[in-house]
Amino acid sequence: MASPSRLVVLGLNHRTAPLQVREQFAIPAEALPDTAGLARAAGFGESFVLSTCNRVELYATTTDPVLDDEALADVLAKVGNARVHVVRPHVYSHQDGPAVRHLFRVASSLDSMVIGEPQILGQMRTSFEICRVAGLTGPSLNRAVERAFKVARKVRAQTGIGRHVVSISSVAVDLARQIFGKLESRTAALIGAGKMGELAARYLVQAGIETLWVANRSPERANAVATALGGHPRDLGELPRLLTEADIVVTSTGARDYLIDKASMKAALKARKYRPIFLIDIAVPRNVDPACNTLDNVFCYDVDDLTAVANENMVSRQREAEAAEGLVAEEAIRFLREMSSVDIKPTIIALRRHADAIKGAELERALRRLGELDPKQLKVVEMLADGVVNKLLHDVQVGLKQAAASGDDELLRAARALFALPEDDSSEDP
Amino acid sequence: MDTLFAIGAGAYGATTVTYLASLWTERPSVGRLAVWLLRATLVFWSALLVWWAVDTGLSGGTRLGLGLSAWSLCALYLLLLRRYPIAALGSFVTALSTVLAVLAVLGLFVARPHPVLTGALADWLLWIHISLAFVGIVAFAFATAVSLVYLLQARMLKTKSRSELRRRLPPLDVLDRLSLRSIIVGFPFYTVALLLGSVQAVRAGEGTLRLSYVLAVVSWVIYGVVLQARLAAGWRGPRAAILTTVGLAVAMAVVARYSLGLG
Repeated sequence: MASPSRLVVLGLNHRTAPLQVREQFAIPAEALPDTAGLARAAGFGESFVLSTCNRVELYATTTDPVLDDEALADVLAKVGNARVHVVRPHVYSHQDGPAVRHLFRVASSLDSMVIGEPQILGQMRTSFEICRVAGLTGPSLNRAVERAFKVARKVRAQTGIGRHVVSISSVAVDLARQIFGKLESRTAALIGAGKMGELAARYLVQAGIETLWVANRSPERANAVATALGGHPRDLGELPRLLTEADIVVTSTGARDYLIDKASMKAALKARKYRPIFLIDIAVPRNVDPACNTLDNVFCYDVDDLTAVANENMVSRQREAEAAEGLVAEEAIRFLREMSSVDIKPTIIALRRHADAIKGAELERALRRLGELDPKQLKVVEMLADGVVNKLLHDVQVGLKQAAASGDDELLRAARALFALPEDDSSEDP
Repeated sequence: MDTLFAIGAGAYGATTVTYLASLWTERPSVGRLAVWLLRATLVFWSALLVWWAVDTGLSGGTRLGLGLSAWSLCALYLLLLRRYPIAALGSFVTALSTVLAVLAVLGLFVARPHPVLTGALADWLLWIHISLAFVGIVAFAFATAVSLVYLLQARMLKTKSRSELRRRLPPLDVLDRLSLRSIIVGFPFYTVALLLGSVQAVRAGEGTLRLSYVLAVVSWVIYGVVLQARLAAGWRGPRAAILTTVGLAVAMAVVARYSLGLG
């Protein structure tokens, strides 16, 4: 009898491998089927490859009861077209239950560099779909991965793992939304077009702000950043006017003194008819006098304030991750139980078919010996045969199901041996 | 009847407590429970109001108005909930409705109807006066609930609070717009109600200036100032929110005086 199909995962990620190793494994989407095909060539059954900037993983099925670590590292080395001795120290592998749990954890973003980030699920979906369309996956892997997607959705719905943003720029956007609601009709001004400022402005643009102005000491740089972000360059000398017109002002210049002090903010506030303004000061030293925050309708956050919120959110995510881990573990156990009970089906079908064949033959022989029977007598004899078979099989079936539910496949093998069931006799229903 | 009204006021209180709990817990089920509890309370309260209106007619005017205000405030909230992200406003709105419902119940238990409500001038003009005044007050009460949430949210943003509550409260801009719109809606009703009240006073031939009249005019002036400052001078934020709240407190003092038979 063939061994049942087992799930195997082997890979390396941000925790086990440095960037210079991981970057060798950056597999473009169009190359995923070929890469997954390498696993098939190495003797695996179904397979799919997940490749992101933080991980490359090969999910596959095998009927091989014993897997050699060296052979697994070799497969992964082929995937990355790398030398096996370079790859080996960074490779991890899981089989059966731990492999299912790992798959569920990855899909639920519990194994991500930033726990709870939502991109991984989309990346996994895309990779899986490419391999599925290429015919590299099959029923076992499809079932496991589809369930992983379902578990990931459940984790997101039932825990707060993705609720709070954890980067400084995202926190700034989040706060802007708490002040202004929708940002679609809002105007932002970026004062100082350094890398950090540009990143924050990019987040605001992605959040949908209507207009972005960029002012910088160097007009060329202001122009370049404005063009890159779809904004408009402005002169730094226009700062008082920008303070009057913009709803959100991001400052990130290298100025040693305050660019915006309380008096200038007060004047701007009057000119803007006290419309609220959000000052995001990510410069060190600070560009905005913290006393501005004492003015009504002025909300001023510096880099420490934003970091504190981001850290708090991270702690909150980690707390939620603990709950999510429990959920994933439960789901993995449930899935493995279901898989076990699914695997028992072919044996039960074969057993039933075997018993029906014996019953049919014996019944025919008995009826030949009995000669002519009236319909009532015929029915009684048939019922007798059915009853004997059903009663005998009932306890056997119950025993097999219980053994399968507890993950014991020894009884399954014993049943097949004792009843001399054929290996491939499960494709048709009895 | 009295006991049923007390139970109704208790239901408003229980809804408020559930809404408050929903602000502090992360379970969405508590928020859903609060909404269902509010709907059930409104159905129960509607039946009571219909019964009371049929039973007392115009003589139940002020108390009916109070009860109707409590109901309208929550109904307005449920209606706006479909359009605005204001789930967190529930505790403030239901708290105000609880106060209104309790005033209605106190009126039932404590006082006799004010003579003006049962006298010769208790006609359709009086009924219109009371109705319009309560429409205005409901709008002002809603504006006040929104303003209180505004003050809380603005304070948390100013102090860089990392409380979960900050994330659950609606954005400042939404609160500010809702508050202004509520006052814009309520002010004309309240103005006409005050004019009709003056007509009533003239019809009654009253020569003295009652405290209730003075308070009613003061509340009208406050809302007039809020509107003028907001629309013309661009006033917004904490100052507008505080003045809106003070305006309601004065208007409620008028209602409370009538409700308790003081006039």
